[in-house]
Amino acid sequence: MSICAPCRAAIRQAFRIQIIAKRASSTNPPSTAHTILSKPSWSVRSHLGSADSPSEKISSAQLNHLLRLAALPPPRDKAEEDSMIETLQSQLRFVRAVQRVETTGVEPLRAIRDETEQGTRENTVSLDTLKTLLDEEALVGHYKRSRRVRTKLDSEAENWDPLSTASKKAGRFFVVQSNKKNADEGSG
Amino acid sequence: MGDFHGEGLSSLRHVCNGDVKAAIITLSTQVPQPISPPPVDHEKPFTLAVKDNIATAGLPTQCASRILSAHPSPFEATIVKQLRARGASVVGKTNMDEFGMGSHSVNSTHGPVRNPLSNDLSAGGSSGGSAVAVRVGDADLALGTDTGGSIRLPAAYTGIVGYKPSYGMLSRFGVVPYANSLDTVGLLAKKVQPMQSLIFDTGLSKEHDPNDPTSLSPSTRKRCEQAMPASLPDFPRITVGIPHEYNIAELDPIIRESWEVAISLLEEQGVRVVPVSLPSTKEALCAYYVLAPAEASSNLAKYDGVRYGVRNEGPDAVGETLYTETRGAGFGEEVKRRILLGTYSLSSEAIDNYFIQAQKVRRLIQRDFDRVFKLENPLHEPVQFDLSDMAETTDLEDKQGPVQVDFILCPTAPTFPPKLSEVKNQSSVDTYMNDVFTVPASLAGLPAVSIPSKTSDKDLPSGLQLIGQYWDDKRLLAMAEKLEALVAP
Repeated sequence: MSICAPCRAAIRQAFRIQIIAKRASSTNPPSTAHTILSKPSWSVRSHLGSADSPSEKISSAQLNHLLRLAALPPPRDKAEEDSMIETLQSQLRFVRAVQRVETTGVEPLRAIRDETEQGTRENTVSLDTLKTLLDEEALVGHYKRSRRVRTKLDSEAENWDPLSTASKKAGRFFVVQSNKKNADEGSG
Repeated sequence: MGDFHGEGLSSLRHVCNGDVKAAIITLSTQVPQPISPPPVDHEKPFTLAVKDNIATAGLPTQCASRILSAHPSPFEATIVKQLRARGASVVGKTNMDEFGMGSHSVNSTHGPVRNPLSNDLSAGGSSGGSAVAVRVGDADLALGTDTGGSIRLPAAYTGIVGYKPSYGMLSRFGVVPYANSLDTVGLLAKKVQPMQSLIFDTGLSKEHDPNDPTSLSPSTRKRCEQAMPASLPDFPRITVGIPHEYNIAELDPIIRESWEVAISLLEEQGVRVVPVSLPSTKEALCAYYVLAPAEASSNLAKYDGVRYGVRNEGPDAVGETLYTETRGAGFGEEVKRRILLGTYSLSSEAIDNYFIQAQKVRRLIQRDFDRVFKLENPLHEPVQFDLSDMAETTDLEDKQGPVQVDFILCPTAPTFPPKLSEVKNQSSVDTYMNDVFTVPASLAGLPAVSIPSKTSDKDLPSGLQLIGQYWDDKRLLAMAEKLEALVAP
């Protein structure tokens, strides 16, 4: 199919106007700001859910287990226990939205670090990395076992007295005191 | 313990005739200071306030926690040493939320920080004391830490500039960890310019710290720097993205208006402003409140009072578990709540559904940003993506895909600072919602800066946040300086 020259020019003209109009509307309309922001897209409150919406149920035994793992004191009474469970459940209700995201095949992002091929190569510990240290080893005994030669470290950190900040000490030892009444076994 | 600190601690300093309580909790004048090396010729001396979770020689490092009350750090943080060498004289340590856990600087053993703009308002957190110290002129510059918005939020609430650099740029050695995959050291000042010159003109951005395993290696720094354009182009060649998902129902209409005004002002200058979509934003806050408490529960496990820290007389256990007495009395309520939540999400029955799942969501958040920015993320090989993978809300520019941007512009906080009395009545989950705009950049490790903007509310400024691609800090601050000139209150 062929189009005569004047028609072609007219079509081209029409297209050009359309393109210009489109470009203008996408880059410089009277108020981009207002168009973009006219309607809120969602509400954070939607994560809160209501108190009766489903969430992980935490039992009293579970709470006490978690407290023990965290080395935090158990609740003093039933009221404190209930409030701790309610707080934990409300937090879990809030964060459980992470579970609705489809993440099949997604590699977890554990830390912000150089994940390029070169970066990974540079951070890989190889025999070459250890060579200088291995070269410093001495072969000892009949079976020529390699052993590190001890050298005296001369670092500022070595001049620090770790006991200076301890509130209880026994000679050159830290002190930990358990709850047992017969006091003598207390230190360790 | 630490006899020479005792006196400094007993007197909380009242700044501004007692209006701004406890912004600076320990003053340098109260204790002998290490002698700073003389600053290099071209560097001007300046005063520096240091957040209380950053170790300083001579001053206690307490993290606003009873458990570290009067704790003298045996060494000084790298960042403090670096700034002293650049002319900083430390004026004191600033109040904060205990271990950085909070958004209003009220969870502190020293009492809440008050906002100098109005005494009954929150100053934001957790670096609230640092923000106030700068705002009232006690320091030219302040060091803060930002885990999920802890620098940007108080900067927005107090009307100053808060900058969170790319994760891994500034050394974290000597910074007490809260959630180490997120913790970032950053700066607060009244203007963008002083931080810009400090970070880039003095070579701070190039310095790797071998003591900090998360400090980017010299070779990675070099690669990142080469990947980034050296300077900001003229306005007509800059594209700024406005993320759909940051326009939430809870956004204060006056803050939305100031956002709109900023967009229009940029457009007048020839900047191209386009809507963009960051679909994972909705789950970012949830992912953050899984990851940060989980890392915190692990990081705070070391506080047992045995080697350092405060412990009561008598046994170290309540019941059978050791250290419970010390930890129960030493930690504040919010810290205990987060440790418990973190312990749960790391427990064997929950780790896959919560912790690992949140790390996967974190990857999606990073991917969202990478798709939106023109520049590739220098931390990984460029990834191709199909348009079919993109959210439906994405606007396509042409069949090549959506338009890509240099920076993202959004508010720093959804509301103006709340009243301290309201904060007191909020549940912890309520206060978490304050961080909705700051958390995504933290999860992706991206540089972000909050600058104060005028609003139609005569008394209070709002904070506008610019986010850039990883290691695009130099251009980000240059852009922030230009935006600052347009919107400054």
